[in-house]
Amino acid sequence: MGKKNPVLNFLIENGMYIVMLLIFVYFAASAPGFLTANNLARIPLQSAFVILIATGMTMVIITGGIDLSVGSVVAFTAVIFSIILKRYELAVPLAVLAALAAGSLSGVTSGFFVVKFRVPPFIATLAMMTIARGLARLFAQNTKIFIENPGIEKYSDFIMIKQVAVTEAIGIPYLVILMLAVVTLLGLVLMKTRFGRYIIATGGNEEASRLSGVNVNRVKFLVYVINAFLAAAVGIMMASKFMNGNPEFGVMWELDAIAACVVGGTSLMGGKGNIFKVLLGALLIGMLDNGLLIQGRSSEMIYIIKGIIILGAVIIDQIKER
Amino acid sequence: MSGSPDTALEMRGIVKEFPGVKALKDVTFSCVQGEVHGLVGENGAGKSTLMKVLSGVHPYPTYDGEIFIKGKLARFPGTREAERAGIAIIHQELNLIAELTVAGNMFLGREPVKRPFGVIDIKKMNADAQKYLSAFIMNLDPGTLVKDLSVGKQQMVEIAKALSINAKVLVLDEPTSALTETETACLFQVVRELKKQNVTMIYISHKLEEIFEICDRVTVLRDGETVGTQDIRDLDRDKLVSLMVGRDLTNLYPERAARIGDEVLRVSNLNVAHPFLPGERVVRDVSFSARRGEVLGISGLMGSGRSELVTALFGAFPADVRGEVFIEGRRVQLKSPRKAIRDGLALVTEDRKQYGLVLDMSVGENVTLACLDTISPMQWIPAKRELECIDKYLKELNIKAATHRVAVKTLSGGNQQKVVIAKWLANAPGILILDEPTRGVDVGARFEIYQIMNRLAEAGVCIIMVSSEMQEVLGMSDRILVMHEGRLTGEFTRAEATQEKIMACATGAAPAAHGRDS
Repeated sequence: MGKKNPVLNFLIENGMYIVMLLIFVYFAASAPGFLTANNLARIPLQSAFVILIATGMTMVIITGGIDLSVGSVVAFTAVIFSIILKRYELAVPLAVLAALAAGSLSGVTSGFFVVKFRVPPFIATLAMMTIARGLARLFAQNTKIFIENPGIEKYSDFIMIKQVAVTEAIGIPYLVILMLAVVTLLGLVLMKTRFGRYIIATGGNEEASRLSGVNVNRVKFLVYVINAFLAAAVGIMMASKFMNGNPEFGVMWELDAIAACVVGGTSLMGGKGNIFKVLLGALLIGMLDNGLLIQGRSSEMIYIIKGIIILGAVIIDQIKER
Repeated sequence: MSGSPDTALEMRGIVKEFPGVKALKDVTFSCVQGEVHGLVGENGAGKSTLMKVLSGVHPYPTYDGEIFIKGKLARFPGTREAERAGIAIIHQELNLIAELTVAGNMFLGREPVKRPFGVIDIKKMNADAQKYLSAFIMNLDPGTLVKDLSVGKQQMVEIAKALSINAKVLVLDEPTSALTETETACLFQVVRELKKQNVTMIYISHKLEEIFEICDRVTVLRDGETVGTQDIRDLDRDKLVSLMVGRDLTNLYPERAARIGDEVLRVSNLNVAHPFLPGERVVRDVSFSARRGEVLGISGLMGSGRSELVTALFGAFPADVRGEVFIEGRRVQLKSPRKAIRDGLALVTEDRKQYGLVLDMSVGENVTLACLDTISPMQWIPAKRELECIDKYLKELNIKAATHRVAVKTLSGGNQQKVVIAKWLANAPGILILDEPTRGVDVGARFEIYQIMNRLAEAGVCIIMVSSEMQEVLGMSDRILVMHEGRLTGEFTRAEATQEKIMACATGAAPAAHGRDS
């Protein structure tokens, strides 16, 4: 770290916040309608699902791994949930549990192969990504599974889930409250609990951690399960929100989640990361999406600009490391 | 300039300083054309540094003194120039590319090509390789992939490669440390063949029997100085050993008033398989015991199985381990470090950066890493309790860090080592194993580490210290075990131990007579 120039040092140290501020000011000035309470409230809501996945992803990445399967797991779970409700007419809480279990099972599988067979996480979860997507399409027979007749008594619980996904309390959407709660919970787990400490230690130096009595295999296994569980929860909420299970839900979400982690300063080498900063990273990307759309940019342009910003954020992080 | 016309190489008055250490102080070394010249000395005597100066790893002018190759003054600005002058080193770790063929490795970067497209002329390359291989009775197909060769054969490829670059002086650095007996015999055959072809060789080894078998002359280094060069016929093992160790113990070791108590550890017939060579063992039939309040030193040369022994005791060696281990009279399984820690063991590993510390984490987090189970029995880590624990050990071990929040990688080597020790003390182990506890640690911190060991012994902890530094073993241990090629070859009490006796056992020069008579 260069100690010569304090101004430059300050800029680099707080790079993400400064970039965020600059983008905010830019959109406030150039995108009419950006700076309204309504619109600003929309940003966390639009990003909520990806943020939920990104929190789990942060844990995985800190252990030195990666999870490419979560986007597919969202779709897989949404389809399973819808089928269970529609075809088997199970009570809603049971359907939720079954869907959560099915989604988590994909994390169990990835974690098992990573830990037991030393399959590189990239490969294990890449395989899981295509398998889960394939299963979702297979079960849904390549169409959306609609959840209908919501009027029935036994669907009342279901309406509650839907309400979490779409309604709000005191002006804040339930979904955003839920998202913030999960971020806070997992953020505290990472910073304040033994399990969190072991996640960071495992990613920092797996061998030294193992020799210090840390059960590194259990740690590595569990982060994939947690991540898949969160993806499953998102899948259930997606199905509730749109009243259907769509096998094309969540395409590329794993990449959005990874982008949020990276912009939030999580090191892909493992050992370093902070869930609250990842939240900011995700909001930064969400703000970009929102502002560029208001400016009337084409989706192609939005992709390109987002890519450039992600690259820039990581470069700032790299400079900070030196 | 240099003495006689058949002097292949001469190094005069070589001085090499590193920050804080003078690794070489006035070393003189010369080789006659076509001889096999042994270079021996304890770990840290300066052998490797001297060879690095010779091969341009430490380029001119980062050292003082002069090097003459065939009588001509040589000042290598880098390894390339040294290579061009005919100096080649075969390192302990081989530098071959596993997925390439033998010939591909030998001619890497200078493959013969066919015009006009620059396609590699494999036929010519293989034929050229064959020429060098058969020149010294190597029965090896140049088209074989290197990964399919044994370590011994791979070493031959390295030698053939060096010769194909026209090496005049071949340095073999501990060439047999990874070889089986048959492979060693094979290597010696090649060395003799090369000697006939007038290649000069410098042979570095800890195994004295090899020096006597293969070398014509031997130079002994000690503490960065040349003790002398002698004809091998004028020496015997005892003489050579005393040349290697002959120095006085300085007053570096604090007094200890520990009372040695009951037996806490008993190891019986421990065998550890070689991690990759099937059928080989790195620890063979080792039995010993250790007591409360005792400092048990384990001495031995590199590759003698010391580290493997203690790593296996800690349940961390990645190979088959057989034998019985009793802690406080109870039989324990050597399953995992986690299990070992529960049984009251602690292991301060040899390489603290790789195996001891999580470098990016803070000093405090490293201190409590192994004892979080006790600090936070329910997942939550109580900040106050953790801080108390950290503060206690930072004070007790006098660890110099700005705060406990700084990354542990910012500390000096000695302080880092103390953090590793703190991590284990926080666990209150009954048996503390230290593998090379003072490697890379300056003299001041070294003394502190010895004091810590003494305090622990006085508090009734059983301490097992593995060390390749003879003085340290002699200065600190109540009892000393010596290992050679995986076996225990000697056991001495503090009173009866001398450097010569230990060295004799460590080099396999003495019969294992000192065995179990303590």
